[in-house]
Amino acid sequence: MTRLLSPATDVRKQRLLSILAFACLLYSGPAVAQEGHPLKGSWVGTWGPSQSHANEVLIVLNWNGKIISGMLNPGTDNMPIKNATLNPVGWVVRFEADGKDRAGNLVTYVVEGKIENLGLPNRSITGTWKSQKENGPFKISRQ
Amino acid sequence: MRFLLTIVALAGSLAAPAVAQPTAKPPAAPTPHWPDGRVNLGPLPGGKGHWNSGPGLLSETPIKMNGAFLADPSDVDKVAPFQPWAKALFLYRQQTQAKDDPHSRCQGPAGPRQFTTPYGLEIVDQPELKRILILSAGAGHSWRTIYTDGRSHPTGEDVNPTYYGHSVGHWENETLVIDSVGFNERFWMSGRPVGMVHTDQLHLIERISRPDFNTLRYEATIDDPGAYTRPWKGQAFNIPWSPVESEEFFCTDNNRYGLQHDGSIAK
Repeated sequence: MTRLLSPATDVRKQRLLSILAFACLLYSGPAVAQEGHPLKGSWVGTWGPSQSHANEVLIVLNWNGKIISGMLNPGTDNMPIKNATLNPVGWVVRFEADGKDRAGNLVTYVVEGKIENLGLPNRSITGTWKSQKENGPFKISRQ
Repeated sequence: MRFLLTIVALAGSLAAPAVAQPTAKPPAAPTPHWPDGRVNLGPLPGGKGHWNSGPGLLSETPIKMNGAFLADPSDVDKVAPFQPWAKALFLYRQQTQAKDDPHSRCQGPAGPRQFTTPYGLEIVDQPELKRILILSAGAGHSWRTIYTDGRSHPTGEDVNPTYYGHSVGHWENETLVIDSVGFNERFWMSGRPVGMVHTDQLHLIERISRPDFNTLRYEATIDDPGAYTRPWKGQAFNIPWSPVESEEFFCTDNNRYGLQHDGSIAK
């Protein structure tokens, strides 16, 4: 049987697999309990124009007793969130974030979703997002 | 005829059971003190005993309870001045029978909950070390340190949020006043009603006294602008003295999942 990969390629492949395995271990770790404000924490998930064309998204949220603050990063840049609200009736979350597209034009994202599995540390938020040009579903889980 | 009635009446009175005189409960022994005059919050030297858990209720005003749950959920505004999200979360925990309670997974009974947790607690005074320990017999068999050496709370980067927070104490006459900050957000701070919400902004002030030998009096003031609209004070409650050693109890002993209140297993 002909060997298709060189030994150097094998080493690189093994190294890559090791890194991926380590990353998976980190990712699958249990979320630290958060029994205070249900939005507080780091949230990771996907969003995109569709379920099959989704990008990873990171959202960090905080609560100071009066205002929900935080950051949205859909893989491009950190964008401070604004006008964030949580309606306890239905646990509906809504916030906005301003970014820029590749041409440097202002893009405003409007995100709205609902908290699911409220009592669990790894609760999730599902909903929709939209900007001036795009929109789609998203789902994030608390880490 | 009159004679007959008299006989009947006399017989009736004789047949009536003797009314039991209430047995007078002996008065509790007075509050014990150390030689320096401070109140002793534990057993007498050479003695034994601990504070058993009582039906203490963390509520601003009296409310009707059904165990750990509000008998009438519309009483929620009598419990505390909740922010809207905190009230909704508290009611969710009540309505779901506390199925997600971290305490059922052996997390520490921190905050006021330490004084209502089954199996009770001991208060150990260490004047030579200028600290008081509160040993929780129940839950995770954990302890809390109250520093009485006059130190202040850590601030800024030095704050390490923990279950019990950072506690300093001082005496106001016969009352031990404990001031605590630096709590994490991984626990529910009350067991009755179960599920009271707090944030890491919680500033807890507890007043503990021993009005007589058999009674510990506990009162908590909650100042948490992250979850409540104003500081509030829970009604004081009593905790009874149990004249036996506290039992060894480890929540984690063979605890793989944690039982729910309905007897099912939480996964």
